[in-house]
Amino acid sequence: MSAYAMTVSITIGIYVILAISLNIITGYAGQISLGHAAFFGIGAYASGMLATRLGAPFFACLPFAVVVTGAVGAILGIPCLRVKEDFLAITTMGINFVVQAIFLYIPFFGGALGIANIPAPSIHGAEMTKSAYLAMVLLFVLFAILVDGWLTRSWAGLALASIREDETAAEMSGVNITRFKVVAFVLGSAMAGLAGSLYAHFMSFISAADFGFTESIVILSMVVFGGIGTLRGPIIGAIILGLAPELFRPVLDYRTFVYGTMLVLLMRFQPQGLLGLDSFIVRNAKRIFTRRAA
Amino acid sequence: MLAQQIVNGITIGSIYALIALGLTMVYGVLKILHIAHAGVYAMGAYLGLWAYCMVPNLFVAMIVAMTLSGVAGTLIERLLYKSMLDKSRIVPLIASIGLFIAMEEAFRLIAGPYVRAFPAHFRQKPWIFGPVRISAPQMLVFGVTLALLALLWWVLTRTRMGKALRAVSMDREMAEALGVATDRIISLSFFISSALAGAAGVLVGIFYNSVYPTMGDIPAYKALAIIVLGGLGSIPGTIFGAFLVGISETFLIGFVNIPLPRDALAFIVMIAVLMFRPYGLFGKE
Amino acid sequence: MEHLLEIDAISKHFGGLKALENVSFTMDRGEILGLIGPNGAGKTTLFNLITGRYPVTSGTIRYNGKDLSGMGPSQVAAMGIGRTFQIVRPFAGLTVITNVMIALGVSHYAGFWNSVSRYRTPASLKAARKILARVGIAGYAQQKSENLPLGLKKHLEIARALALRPSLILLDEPAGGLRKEEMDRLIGLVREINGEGTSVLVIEHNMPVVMQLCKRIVVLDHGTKIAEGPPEAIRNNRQVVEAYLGRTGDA
Repeated sequence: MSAYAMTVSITIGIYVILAISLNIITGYAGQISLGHAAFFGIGAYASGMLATRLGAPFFACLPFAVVVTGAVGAILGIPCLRVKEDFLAITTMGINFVVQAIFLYIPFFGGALGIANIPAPSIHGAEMTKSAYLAMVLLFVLFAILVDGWLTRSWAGLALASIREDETAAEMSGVNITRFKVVAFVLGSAMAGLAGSLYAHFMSFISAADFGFTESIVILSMVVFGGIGTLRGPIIGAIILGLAPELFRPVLDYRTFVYGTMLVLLMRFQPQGLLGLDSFIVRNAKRIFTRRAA
Repeated sequence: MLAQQIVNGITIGSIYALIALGLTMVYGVLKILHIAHAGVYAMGAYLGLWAYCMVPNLFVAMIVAMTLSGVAGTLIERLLYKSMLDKSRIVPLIASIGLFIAMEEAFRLIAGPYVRAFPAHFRQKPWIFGPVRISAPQMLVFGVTLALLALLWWVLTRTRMGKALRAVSMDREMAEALGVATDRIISLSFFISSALAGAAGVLVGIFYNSVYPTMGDIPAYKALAIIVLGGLGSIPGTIFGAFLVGISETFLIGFVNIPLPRDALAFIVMIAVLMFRPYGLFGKE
Repeated sequence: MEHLLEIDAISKHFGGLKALENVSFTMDRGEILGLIGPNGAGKTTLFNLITGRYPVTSGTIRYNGKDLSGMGPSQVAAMGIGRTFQIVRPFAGLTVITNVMIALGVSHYAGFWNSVSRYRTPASLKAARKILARVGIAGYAQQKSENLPLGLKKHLEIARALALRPSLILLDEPAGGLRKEEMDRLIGLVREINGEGTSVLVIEHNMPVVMQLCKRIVVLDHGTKIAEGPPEAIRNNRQVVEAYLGRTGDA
C-alpha cells in the first residue's frame, strides 16, 4: 500500500467513525444535527492541546478528548433539549458557528494559527508508522461498529427508536425522553471526540477552519447518502463520499459541483440513501436472496 | 455616531428582511428549510449584473433579476421539493444543501471565482442630516426594500391570492379542503420569495459593489438564524428578527469590543432567545 | 380502602383559558368509568394531567394513594398507568411487536446496566407475543404498524398500554372512527381486560358504547364537572342534556 493510499484510508476511517457517531444522534434518536463538526473539533483541540501544552502522551490524550467531548456534548445537549425538529437543526448549526468562532478568536485556542506540532503517537519511544496508525484507526472503527451494534440491540437503542418515531407516545410508554436524548448526544459526541483525537495526531496541525459548518454537512451527507438509521449506511456513505475527491481528481474543477449535484439527485430519486431500508439496492438484493432461498 | 449606527443597522436589517422573508414564507407553506434560497439570492445578483451590463438601467436590471430568480425558485419547488413532502424532513434539507453547493459551484465555473464589481455609478451626493450621512446606494437599498415590503404586505393582506397564501401556510390540508388551489399557491409563494431574494442579491451587489460565487454563504446561515429567532413561518417575527440582528450587529461591532465575529453573534442571540422561547419570538407551539 | 385514582379539586389554566376548574372524582379498583362531555369540555386535558404531560395548576391527583404531582409522563407510565390516544399514534415505522417491546422495556429504562442489556431475549419476545395474542393481533407481529387498519391500530395501542402491566388504562375515544364490527370487537376487548383486573377510564362520544361499558359516568362541561352517576341517571340529568343540546344547537 502506498503512503498516499494509506493517508486516504486513514482519513476515510476517521470519517466512518464520524458518520457512525452522527447516525446515533440523527439516525437512531431522530435529532437532526447540523453541527457535528463542532464535536469533532472539540475532540481534536482537547487532544492536540493536551499533547502540545502539557506534553501528554497520545494514549492519555485520546481518552481525555473522548471524555471532554462527551461532557461538552452533555452540556450543549441541554439547550438542544429545549428545542425540536427544525429549531433543533438550526440551533445545532448555530452551536457549530459559535464553537468555531471560539476556536478562531480566543487566543487560548491558538487563534488563526490553530494548534501546530501535535506529536504523532509513539510506542516505547518509537514514533508510530503510518501503517501502524492505519491499523489503529481501523481498530477504532471496529470499536465504533461494536458500540453501535450493542446500542441497537439494547433497551436503550429501543428507547432511542421510540423517541425518533413519536416523542409523546414514547413518554407514555415509559421512556424518559430527556435522559435518552442526552444519552444519544453524549455517546455521539464522545465518539466524534475520538475521531477528532485521531485526526489531530495524524494531521499534526489543526485549525478552526477544519471544523466548520461545511464539515458538518459533509458528515451528514455521508450518513444520508449511505442510508440513515442503519449501520451499513453511514459506513458505506463515508467510504464512497470519502473516496469521491480522489475519484473525481481527473475532473478536479468540477468536483464540488458534482458532489452537490449527486446529493440532489440521490435525495430526489433515492431518498432512503444507497443502502437504506427500502432502497433500490436493498429491495432487490432481498428479492434475489429470498428467491434463491425459496 | 449613535444615529449613524442606527441608520447603518437598519440598512443591513432591511436586506436581511428581504432574504429572510422569502425563506419564512416558503417555510410557512412547505415546512422546508430552503437553504438553496441563498443560492437564488446570489443568482439574482449575477442576473442583475448581467442585465445591467446589457442595458445600463437599474430598474430593468432589477426586474430581470427578480423575474428570472422567481422562475428559478418555482422550478426548484416543482422539480425538487414537490416530491419530498411525504419524506423525512432530512431529505429536502440535504437536497437543499446539495443544491446550494451545486449552485455556488455553477456560478464559479460560469462567471469565474473572482469578485466582480457592480458598475452602477451614482452621481447623487450623500444626504446629510446633522450627524447622519446616508449615501446614495444606502438610499437605494432603503427605498427599494421599503417599496417591496409594502408591496408584499399589500399582496398578503389585501388580495385573494395573499389570503389564500396565508391560509395555506396556517394549515395546508384545511386550505385544500376549503378549495384553495394549494399547488398553485405554493408555487406562487416560491416565485414571490425567490424574486425578493433576487432583488436582495442585486441590492447587496450594488451596496458593497461586489458580486461573487459564495456571496450567499453568510446570508444563508444568518437568514436561517433570523427566521428561527422570529418563530419559523411568522412574517412579523421575521421582520422583527431581521432588524434586531441587523441593528445589534452594527451596535456591538461599533461600540462593544467583543472578541467574537459578527457572524457568530446572530447565532448567540438566537440560541439565547430559544432557551426562553423554544418556538422563537413570535412562534406558537 | 383507598381509591385507585383520586382526582382532588384539580384546575388547569392555559394563560387566561380555564381548561379545567376544580374537578374532583374518584375511581375504584376494577371499575370502568366513563368520562363524557361536549367538545372542549376538558376531557383530554384531564388525561394529559393524569399522565403527567402537563402540570396541574392546582389540586392533586393520587394514584394508589400516591401523589402524582411533579411526576413526568414516563414516571407515571412506570407506575402502571397506560393510555391510548384520540388520534392513534403508534410508532409508525416500527413493527407491531417492536411497538409492544418498547413499552415492555419500562422496567429497563431506569438503571444503566438494565438499559444496556439486550432487548430481544426469549422472555421478552414471549411476553410481547402474549400481549399481542391477548388483543388479537398476534398475526401482524412483523408488519410495520403504519400498515395496520385503524381498528387494529387501536388494538395495538391497547397492547402497548398493557405492556406497562398497568392497573389503570386511559382510553381516549376508543370507538372513534371505527365501523360497527370493529367497535364491537374493541368493546369486547375492553370488557375482557377489565375482567382480568385492569381498571379503565374511558373518554367516549359514542353514547351507546359508554352506556354499555360503564357502570358510572362523570360528565364535564366547560372544564367543570356537571354530573356523576350511573348511566340511567346521566341520561335523564337535565344539565347534561342541556350541555349537549346547547352545543348541538350551536353547530
